Amino acid sequence: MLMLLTIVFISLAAVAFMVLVLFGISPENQKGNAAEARTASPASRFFASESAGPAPSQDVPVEVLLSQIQRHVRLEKAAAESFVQGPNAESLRSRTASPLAN
Amino acid sequence: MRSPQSDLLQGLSENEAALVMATAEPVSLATGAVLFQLGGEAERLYLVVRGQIDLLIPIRIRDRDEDVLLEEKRPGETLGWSGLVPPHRFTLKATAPVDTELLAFPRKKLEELFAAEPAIGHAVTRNVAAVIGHRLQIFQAMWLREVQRMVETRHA
Repeated sequence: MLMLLTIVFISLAAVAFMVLVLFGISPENQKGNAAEARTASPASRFFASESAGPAPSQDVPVEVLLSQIQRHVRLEKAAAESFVQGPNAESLRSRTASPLAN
Repeated sequence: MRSPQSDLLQGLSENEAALVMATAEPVSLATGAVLFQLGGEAERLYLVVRGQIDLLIPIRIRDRDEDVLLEEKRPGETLGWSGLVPPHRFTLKATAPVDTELLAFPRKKLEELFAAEPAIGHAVTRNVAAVIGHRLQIFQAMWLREVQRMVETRHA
């Protein structure tokens, strides 16, 4: 008798556990989670878009940054010269080798 | 003193060019000297005779103002057109990376010459307009490229 009650108790506990697990991943909850993700994602994307690219590391020496900026200006100016010589929309979208523009 | 390749004197006869050159004052700069500062009062137009002038823009990096080279002016090239265009303030900084000689054309003297000789005034202002127009075209293209890049980065 005791063994029978033990088996019934364990079975009920297992069923209750399964119900809880299934309830946790029900479609309604999935919708709720998706809604949370939607409300969270715009904020993440907003902050991501504020910094257009990786944040400059404080470890990079100013001289190196200056050299990169100098190179960027030189490449962009050359691209602009090319546009002025033969204006077309495609050359406005062309990419230079500048690490600051990629 | 006339540089035959001078962009300032294009379209002028020998006599007309000589009249323009008569208004000029020689300027010598040692290596590293500053010709003018951004925001400084612009009273003269300059023509490079020997050496080189670097046009620089200030970029702030971690609380430090650093000069970034934007344009190099070599013998025969004109700079400092803010001297002829209101509000007569320089929009860039100019330095001499090597020993340099220039001719400086005071605005007052040029305006007097242009008033007395309108044909010279027309030719010189047309030449200066070409220098300004080129700068405008380059900066406009650089700005358009920057806007295009911003759109692609933020709204791809």
